[in-house]
Amino acid sequence: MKKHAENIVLPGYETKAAVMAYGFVLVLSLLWIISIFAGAYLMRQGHMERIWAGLIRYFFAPACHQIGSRSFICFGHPLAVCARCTGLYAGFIAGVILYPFLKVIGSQKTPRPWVLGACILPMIVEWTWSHAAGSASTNALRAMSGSAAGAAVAFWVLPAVFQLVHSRGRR
Amino acid sequence: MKNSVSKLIPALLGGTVIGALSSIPIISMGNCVCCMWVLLGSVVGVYAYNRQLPPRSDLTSSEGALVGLLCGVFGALIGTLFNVMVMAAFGTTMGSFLEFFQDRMDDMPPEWVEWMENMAGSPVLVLIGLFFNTVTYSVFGIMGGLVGAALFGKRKPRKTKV
Repeated sequence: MKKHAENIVLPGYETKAAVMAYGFVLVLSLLWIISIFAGAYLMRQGHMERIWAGLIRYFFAPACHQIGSRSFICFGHPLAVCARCTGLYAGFIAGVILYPFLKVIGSQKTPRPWVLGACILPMIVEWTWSHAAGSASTNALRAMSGSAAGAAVAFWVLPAVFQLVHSRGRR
Repeated sequence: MKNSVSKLIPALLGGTVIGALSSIPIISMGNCVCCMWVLLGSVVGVYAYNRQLPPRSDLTSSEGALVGLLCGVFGALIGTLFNVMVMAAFGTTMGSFLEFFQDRMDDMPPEWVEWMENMAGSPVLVLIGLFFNTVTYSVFGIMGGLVGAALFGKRKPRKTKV
């Protein structure tokens, strides 16, 4: 068995609550990314479904520019968010899925802040390079740089959720 | 240590920052970069919350996430209010909304455009926008709150039972 640096023994009820919280985050983030693909899928369906596709795009509009040429094409239509955002969300899910293999569910220890900075750096460099140098970036590059940041964010979000569960359980 | 400091005022402050920046035309486009103004407003909220804490208490990431979540909710409410005011002052909601969308998306479903035109001026549209903004801003508010906690919280060695 792998020995973790933060070998915490939690009371039974807290372990159960932490696992449930982990499952909740996983399901929510899966729903989030499924809806991005659903936006493109519904575009090729009937009248009513296309209205739903519009609603999904409207939902993601506050957080993304949704420029078609900067989005991945799926089912013959651009996804509801751009390639960078798709990478961010996919990276987040990858981080959530990988979490139990790298850390203990229920652990409240976050990595050092510089780790987050290092993972966000490729996204900033890619964005700055494509804008400053005027060279067009590719969707794959946008998604890859975004996914590193998204995966890192999961290692901050989950400990915060576990901390919340822990503090509520003690009341 | 459990902090009993109110999160309401810092959240209102952060929410006002989010709402104001997300409603000003052109500036609001900053939200296209991973909800930048929501992240910023939540960091401001967490900063204000951290300043209220007693000297020896530490800011935890769960507190940061909670303050961020509240900032997002208030931001959506205040932003929607500002938006309605801005649209009333500068033009109809529908006109600028469709212009904004058509500029960005070549293949907007015509059914959706038609549906939106039928809904023009309806409070239902404002409520749908408010609901969507509340969900999106809350999610990104939590992220901003976590960033704020990482920036302003002190790292202390934790006591763990082995």
